[in-house]
Amino acid sequence: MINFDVLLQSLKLILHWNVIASCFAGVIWGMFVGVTPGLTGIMAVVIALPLTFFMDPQSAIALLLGIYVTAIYGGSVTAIMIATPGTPNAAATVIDGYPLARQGKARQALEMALYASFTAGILSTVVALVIFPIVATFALEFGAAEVFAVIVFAITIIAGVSGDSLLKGLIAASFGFLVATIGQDPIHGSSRFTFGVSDFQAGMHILTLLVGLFTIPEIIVRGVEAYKSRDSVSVGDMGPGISFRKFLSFWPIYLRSCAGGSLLGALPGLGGSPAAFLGYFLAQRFSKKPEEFGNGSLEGVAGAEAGNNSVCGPALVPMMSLGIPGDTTTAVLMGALVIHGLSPGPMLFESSPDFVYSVFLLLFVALIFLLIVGTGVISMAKWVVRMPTQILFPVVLILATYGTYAVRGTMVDVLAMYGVGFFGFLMRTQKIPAAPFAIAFILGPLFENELRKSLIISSGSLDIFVNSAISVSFLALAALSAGASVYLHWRLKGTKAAKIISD
Amino acid sequence: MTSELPSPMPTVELETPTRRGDVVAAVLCLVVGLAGYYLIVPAAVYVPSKVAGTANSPAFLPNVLFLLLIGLSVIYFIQSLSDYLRQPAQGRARKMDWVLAGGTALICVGYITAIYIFGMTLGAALGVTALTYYFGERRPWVIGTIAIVLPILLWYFFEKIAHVLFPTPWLGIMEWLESSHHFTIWMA
Repeated sequence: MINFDVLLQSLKLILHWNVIASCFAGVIWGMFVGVTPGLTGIMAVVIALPLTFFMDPQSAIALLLGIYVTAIYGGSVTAIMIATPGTPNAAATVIDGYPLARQGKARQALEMALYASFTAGILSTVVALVIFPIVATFALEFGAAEVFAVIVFAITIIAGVSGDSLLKGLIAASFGFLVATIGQDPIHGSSRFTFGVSDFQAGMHILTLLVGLFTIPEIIVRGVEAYKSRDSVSVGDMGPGISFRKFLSFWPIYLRSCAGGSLLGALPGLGGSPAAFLGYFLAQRFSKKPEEFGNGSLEGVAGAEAGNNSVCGPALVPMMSLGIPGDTTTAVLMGALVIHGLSPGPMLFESSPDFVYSVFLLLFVALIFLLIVGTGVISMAKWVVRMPTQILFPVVLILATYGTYAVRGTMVDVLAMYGVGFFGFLMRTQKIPAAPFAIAFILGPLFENELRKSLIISSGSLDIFVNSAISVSFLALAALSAGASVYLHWRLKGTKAAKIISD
Repeated sequence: MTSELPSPMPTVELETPTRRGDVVAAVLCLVVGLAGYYLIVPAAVYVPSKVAGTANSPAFLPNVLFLLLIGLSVIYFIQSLSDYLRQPAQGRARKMDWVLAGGTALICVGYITAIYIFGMTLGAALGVTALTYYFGERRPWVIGTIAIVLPILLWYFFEKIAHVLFPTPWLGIMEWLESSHHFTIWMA
């Protein structure tokens, strides 16, 4: 159950001007990135991460949460105005949002997207706040073998849903785990794969890998697209907005999308895109006018946007209670917590319950700022969709380089960042997904510790992984998700659905 | 009279995985796996003799992961090769796309080299100039403004506010500039 005394204490933690200002700055940056096609939420968080080194933990997490929440909504602005999702989460919004804009109802679509995002965000954060203590208490039962089994489950599911095959996802995860072994061995302290480079004794820094993996490939791909023909952006009339009564009349859609999105958000690796499509599907399934879907339905926009924003709160639950990130962006948030000396996992709620609650409270603050900033962006939507990407991407590259250098003050990190980036680009050309690579890298040290600890306890016997009901359950779920992934890819091979999932 | 030559192979986007590319990627993964297991781990991981071959060994997880990579790569290779033999002419990315991608990569390499030679600040000015031009910006005043304002802002933030020490370049131009009295007064 929620401890209201601790909740009040955590409220005091966030009621500082620097925390609130950081959250607001995060919302502004998240919105800017969200409305810029090609700049994803993960890139926004990664680029802001070096700035958080100079902040206290509360302000740092406030900044990153502001970005996290807003970038998801921001992607819908370009999705509606110019049929280009600003972030992958907004892909389902294009289906009905853009036809509405073509009909001169852009303002209605944008307002519906904003209000649905806000409502679903608030509802799902309440859900997360309620379920977190239960999950955290359950997580205290976990030993080394159980944590290992959860990581196997998380990696399997992430590998299965990222990219176009489970095999490629597992290969990417293997590389991620391997890169995580660079540096000192956690037990004996002997060097591994450092090749005499002293800067690698502490391993590759999380920021070096994430910036390289997500920023450099995007910039290289954008360089290619810059030379291709561009359609001129034409934006029609914005039209009138939606009434409060109309907004309220869609409450069943918010509830259904929120339920589906919260469930998907709490599972490791799924993230906002599947939740958006689930929300859209549920809205269509229960609609009185299903024939309008695809031709400009406000219900479709509400379903998709409520779906993708309802993952925000629940995605933080596995990250903070088990130390397993819900998606790539929460993986970066987890990295930020580690940088600030906090260890996400079963003990976090025991040791710093006020911090945990403050994270959820900050989500509420970020959502309120989203509503304010989003309303302003809607009135400027005609202009904001014309971001000069030929200037933005070079600036992002320079910022990424400075940010990576600033972490440890060594050019080795910059070289490693570009190396990972070129490798990431080659992976991208064959649709070998980056998400399992990044998450395996982040979970690598924990994975190794728990695996070796389990095997040392059991004197090398693998029985330890099948002696507990919890680890057996998670290993069975991992096998089940792997089987389901292989089956689905086989059934959908060559179909339009497979292409949508793959994209 | 115009005549169109039949294209021997359809072109695809750079980010579209091709069957041929899958075969190449599988072979590369296999090579990395084998090299890692047989060459890199023995050479780059020091294993105390008393824990060799146990789960306590520093080489335990790297070995397990390289073996896993070998296994997965073999399956990937068989799968991609059988797909390729069944229908090889799926498409190939345009050579021009690869050249353009290579161009961006080359500018990145040039930017890193410029950091070593001229330092972070002037390197950034050169890097952002080259990249904005390459990405299609042609207005000199826009390129010039970014090339001047961005590096100076970053220099001021990282060196003066965050106290991050930048690497010393081969040509210490920024150090020379900073030692100039007028420059310091202007920046202040």
